[in-house]
Amino acid sequence: MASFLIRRTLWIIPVLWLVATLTFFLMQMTPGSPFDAKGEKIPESLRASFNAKYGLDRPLFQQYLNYLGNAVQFDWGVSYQESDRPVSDFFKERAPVSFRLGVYAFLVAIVVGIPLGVLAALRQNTWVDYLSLFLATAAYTIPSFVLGIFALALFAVKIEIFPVLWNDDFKSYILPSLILGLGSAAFIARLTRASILEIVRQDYIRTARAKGLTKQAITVRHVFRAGLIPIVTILGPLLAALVTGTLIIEQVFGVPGIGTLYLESIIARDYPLIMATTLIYAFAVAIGNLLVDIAYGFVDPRVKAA
Amino acid sequence: MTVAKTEQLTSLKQAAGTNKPRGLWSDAWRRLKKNRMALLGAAWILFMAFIAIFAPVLAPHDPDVAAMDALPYTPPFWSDQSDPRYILGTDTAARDELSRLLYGARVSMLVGFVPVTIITLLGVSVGILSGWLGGRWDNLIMRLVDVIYAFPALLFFIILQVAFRDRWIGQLLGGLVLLFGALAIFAWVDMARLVRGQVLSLKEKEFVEAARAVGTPTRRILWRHILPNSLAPIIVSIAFGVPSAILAEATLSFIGLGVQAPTASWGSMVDDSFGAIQSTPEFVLMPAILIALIMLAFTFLGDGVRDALDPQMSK
Repeated sequence: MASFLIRRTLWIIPVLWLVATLTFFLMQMTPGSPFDAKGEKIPESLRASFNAKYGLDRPLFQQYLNYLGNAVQFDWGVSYQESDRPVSDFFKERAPVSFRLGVYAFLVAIVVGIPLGVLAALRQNTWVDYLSLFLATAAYTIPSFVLGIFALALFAVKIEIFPVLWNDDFKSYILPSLILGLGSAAFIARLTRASILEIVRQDYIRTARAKGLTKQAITVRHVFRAGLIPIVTILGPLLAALVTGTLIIEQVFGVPGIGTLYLESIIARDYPLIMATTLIYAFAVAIGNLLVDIAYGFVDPRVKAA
Repeated sequence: MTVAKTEQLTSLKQAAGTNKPRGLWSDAWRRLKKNRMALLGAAWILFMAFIAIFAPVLAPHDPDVAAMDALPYTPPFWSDQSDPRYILGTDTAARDELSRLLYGARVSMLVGFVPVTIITLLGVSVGILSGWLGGRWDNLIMRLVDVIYAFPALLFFIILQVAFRDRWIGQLLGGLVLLFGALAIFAWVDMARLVRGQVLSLKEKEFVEAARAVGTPTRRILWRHILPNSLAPIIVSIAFGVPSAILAEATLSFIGLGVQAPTASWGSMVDDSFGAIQSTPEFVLMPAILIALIMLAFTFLGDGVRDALDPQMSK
């Protein structure tokens, strides 16, 4: 197990390197220059001085090595757009917003998903079961930005309970967190249901029933304890889903987080900011995937051999 | 479990009675026909495919050209200020909403099926090759697959779109060609992994060994024995690959990095009207509802196909 863990963790390095390299060269291939503000070209002489200032006049390969070297030391440089503001400054401002959103969404996923799954399992093949299964399928299938639009149209436009525009108060967080967490909640609900249904069929549950334990005692002491273990295995995909999910959800609700920063920097062609955000996203997704593989490795020993 | 057993028994009895051979496929087809949600999904997909094919005939106006005789955001027919010539109203640029929705079905269907065809051809070939050859080749291919698998796909789509959308390749078919390529580059990996696993277990089976022993050429073994026996999981994978491609296009178009303006796609239509969600939410909702419905239809069909081909997996 230890060697599998180490091997799997080290595997993140080539992936991140490839992400960094591809991003670097693809951004270089993008037509236009980061200094052409909003479609208007700037004079050639000004551009040359900007290029010299940020080292963009050096040979491409040297720029690439510079960038890799700095990235390894977590030195992200300064932004091109906002008068040389350090990239790390942007993160200090934006990351807490996305992080808070992610934590709330995580809570939604757990608080909605587990009870829904348990309820469906305990009332298997009744309308409660079918309804929760249908809701879970819908929440999991319909794209989060579409669900977000439905929520916005209903709860912010039709009945004005929530703000349409971002206010940076707790109320602004509610709808985006709910929508972001809903897909994961559906996933958790399905998993919980399947896992509990499997436990209920086990012999030791029959034994517990045979020796006269009450239904509540069996459910709480035996079924829940064993049935909720597999939920741990989805923390990884949950993290990955929340990370990439914020990118889109932030667009729907106008949340000024990392996702919005990422798209802004791409449109402004702010290379240092793009590089940093891409790597941070890639790192978060890689950690999510790592957790998935580790979890599966624990559950299914065959994975290790692959 | 017991239900499945009795079902198996009755099907065996029926088979004995009619002397009709019952294979995996006819059994699967019978199970699929009983799944009402899957049939409903299939019907909706067929309806959308019909609309996609006949969009030029069905659309009352040019979807990409602003109406000269109507204002932007002319409301749909249920409003008092509606215009009978534009049943569902006009969008932010005074283009006919109905025509754009019809043409949007075209984009979704194309994006659903074209990349998946590439993915299947590429993934199945690589998977068979990797699994059959084994050894060093297998190792090399699988390491490549691992790297691509771990790649954050959405980020890559975004960067790829930014890098190429203003070049000639990004302009082909309103940006669709670039989307096809971007989607296919990533998703073949899943298919390759799946097929490789199948081939690895199949090539140890006795019937393959027998075929080899009687001197059947490799190509024939792959084509007549390995491929048909891996078909079920391939089909299930295709059934889920189509909606994920549709989702990717809708998402990218929603953030403005999908199809090129003025091409109508449901995702880009949501994006176009999104700024006016407070005053005219219906123009955001119409394409959004169509996206939700097509995703639901494909998921129900996919679930049905999976349950039909692999009864053990369904509970």
